[in-house]
Amino acid sequence: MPIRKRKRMDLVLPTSSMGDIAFLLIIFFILASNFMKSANIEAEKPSSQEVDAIDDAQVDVVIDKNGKFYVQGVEVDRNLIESAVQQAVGEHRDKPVHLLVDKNLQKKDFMPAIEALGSCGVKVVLVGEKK
Amino acid sequence: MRNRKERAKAEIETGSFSDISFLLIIFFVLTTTFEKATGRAVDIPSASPPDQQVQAEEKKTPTVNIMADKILFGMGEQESAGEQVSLAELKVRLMKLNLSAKPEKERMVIVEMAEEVDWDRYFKVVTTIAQVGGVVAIVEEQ
Repeated sequence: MPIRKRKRMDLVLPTSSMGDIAFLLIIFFILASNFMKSANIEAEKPSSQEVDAIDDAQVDVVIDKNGKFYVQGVEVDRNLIESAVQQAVGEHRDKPVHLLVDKNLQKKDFMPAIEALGSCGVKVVLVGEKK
Repeated sequence: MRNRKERAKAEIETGSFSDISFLLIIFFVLTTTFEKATGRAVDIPSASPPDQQVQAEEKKTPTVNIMADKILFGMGEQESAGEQVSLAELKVRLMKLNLSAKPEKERMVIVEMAEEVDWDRYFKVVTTIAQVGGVVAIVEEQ
């Protein structure tokens, strides 16, 4: 009696859906990321030893190296900072407002922002590096 | 007799697409640095009327005078501008006042500064005051 060879089963791992999964992951991470609104604004951070990690900002206020004011990444006139911040904060008054000012700016450039934020009555967090 | 040419099968190889996209994901995950923001919360009171400031000065409120090349610290004495201190000394002096244990009105530290003071210098002083529990009150020259 002849010995019959068993037929080998073709082992195929279906990989065609792997590409879809990878692209779905990419799309998920892109959508779930929180991109900085003020990433394109040029402002050199000041440094201090007395800084710690801080919560995410509700509102970002930035004064760039040319002394221009930005609220939530949008340039605003220095006389309108208070109303722009009030509008951006809305009802969430307990959430912090992050203030980033270029380290080389002088008093006349940053004082209007400090005064405006003081008048708004919001929680202000000064942003800087630990050094 | 017709000799039919065999059509070449047009097919795009997609098997390597998943490898490419996973390599891309791994590359971006490894090269991304997640930056955690650092800073310090400060209490900035809204501008107070001048008579309140005078009262505060009479009560010997700690006063920090920031200049371009030095920092002066005093207790609001009218006759002297204050004593020259370093940032570390300023912190020690303020810690001795135990501001964080006091009610908000008594935690006030008056900050005066010259026009040429830059934000970096101001930031260092203000974060030091905030760290020891002080409330920064900025005096505007009239």
